[in-house]
Amino acid sequence: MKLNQLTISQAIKGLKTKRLSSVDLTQACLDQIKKTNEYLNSFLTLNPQAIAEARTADRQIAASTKNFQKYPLLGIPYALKDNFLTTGLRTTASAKVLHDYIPQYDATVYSRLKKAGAVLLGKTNLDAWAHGSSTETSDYGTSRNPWNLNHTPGGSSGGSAAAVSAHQSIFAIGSETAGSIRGPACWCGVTGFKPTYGRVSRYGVIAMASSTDSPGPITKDVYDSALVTQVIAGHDPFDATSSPLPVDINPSKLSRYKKLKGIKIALPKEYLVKEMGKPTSQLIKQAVKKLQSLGADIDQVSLLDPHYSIGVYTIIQRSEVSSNLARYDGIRYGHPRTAFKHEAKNRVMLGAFTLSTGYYDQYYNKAQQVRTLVINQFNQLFKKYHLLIGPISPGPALKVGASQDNPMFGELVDMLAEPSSIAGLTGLSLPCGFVNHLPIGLQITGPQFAEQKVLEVGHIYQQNTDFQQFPDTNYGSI
Amino acid sequence: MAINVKHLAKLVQMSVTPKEEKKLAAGFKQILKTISLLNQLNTSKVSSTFQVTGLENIFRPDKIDKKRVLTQKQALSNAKKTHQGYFVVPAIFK
Repeated sequence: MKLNQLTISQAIKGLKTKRLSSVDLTQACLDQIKKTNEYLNSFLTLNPQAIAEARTADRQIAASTKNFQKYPLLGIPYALKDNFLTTGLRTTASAKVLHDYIPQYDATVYSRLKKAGAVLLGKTNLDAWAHGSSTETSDYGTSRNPWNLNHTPGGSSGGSAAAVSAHQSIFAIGSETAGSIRGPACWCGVTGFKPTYGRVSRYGVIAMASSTDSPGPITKDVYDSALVTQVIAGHDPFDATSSPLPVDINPSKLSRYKKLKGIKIALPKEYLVKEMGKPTSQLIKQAVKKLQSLGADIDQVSLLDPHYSIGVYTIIQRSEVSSNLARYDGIRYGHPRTAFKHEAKNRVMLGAFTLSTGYYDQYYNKAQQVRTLVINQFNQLFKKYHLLIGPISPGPALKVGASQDNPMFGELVDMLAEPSSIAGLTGLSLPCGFVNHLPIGLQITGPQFAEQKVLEVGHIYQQNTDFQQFPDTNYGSI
Repeated sequence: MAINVKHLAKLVQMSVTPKEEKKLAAGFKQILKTISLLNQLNTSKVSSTFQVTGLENIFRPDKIDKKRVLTQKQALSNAKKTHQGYFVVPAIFK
């Protein structure tokens, strides 16, 4: 096994026992990026300090392996979605408006990872401003799915998901407004975790929809997601919407139960949407059987049709985008508004419309009322059930070009993530099989702040299945 | 219902070509049709949710955190045009 193929926990073990160094690990990732990035277009910018940071980590490890208690991700290389601000390192949100923007401060997620000893490899591609679900709206070209280069990796955190799937990075950070972590994680066949809204600080993340934006990890297994979330979660005085509740995420306790006895799980029948193909629905049914065989108690339930959430999400997202993108005037930083491309124009204009006098009640307020209905239903559901499960995407990764001329592509692809996102819930996407050699994802979703429970159940499922696989990345020889 | 794309573009300070205007208008029509599905739900007695975790009135001490203050040089470092330590903005008056 090559070093870049390790999970975080395997790498930490190697670093602790001095079988490998952070420089070796970082170099292995950089080599893989060099070999595969021309095919995947997952990285936009590399961190010129990566090896120097790895060297510093190696010195700390040499000083004492006890430093891992203080720096839980010491020496672990990772990739950061390019909408997280990094002082001195270009941050574009994949938009030419910010083509030469060099931040003067760090996003809280980045500063926490730095403090934890992680080594930044570089910044990954996304849909421009995170507007999309395929990376096809990126001003820097589409990223490709490591499983099949003719397909998209999903989005908006497509570069991050592709980087982890193709072993360019040990883990990556994404951000999700509705499906932007879990969707690409699903399509690239890796594990994606969306924490509760407010569990992870949004400070220094280029804002998309402020009432749902949630940063989170994309990793090679559930355990690693817990490790990373534990580091990045927690109250941040710089983000007034971050939660003051104590962080209840403990990776070492993920294995405390071997079975799912006593765990009650709901399977909403409306989530088996008409857009879903039969092979995908078969895989979800198999996952249900697997969880049942592990002791979970699963009932089919009825929730609001997720098609309603498409409407709610579209209105809220467009409205908040129109407000958030108003700040780009090209005066203090960035380029003038003439540099905005089609998708941003599409969203900003529609958002301005749904917020405008005379239409506010009909659209924006109506959406916020239906949001309440969705939340109320979840509250009722979680009185009786610990978690809910279902597909996270109606099918496997779509071909590059699928989003063209479809102004609601993202919303349709993400419809199964949208209800949980507009309610601010926490959820996991993890591989549950393959259709046409492309991965399919299972969502495990819990009430707000139930991160540990979601991760525990995901971990047990993953320990008892063999779907977390990785593609052959010898693209040059194919 | 038709949206006046040109007017909206002016409001949000964005420029659209006639070809784009047509494409955007067709897209808006499609989106409005999809979101009109919400009208099937009766929300006359439902309140709106703007903040999902229930936080309210979050304040910070009214004190300057010097660690977060950018220097003048830092603040101006990304500006395309500066003049004697100031941002240069487009003229508003003729």
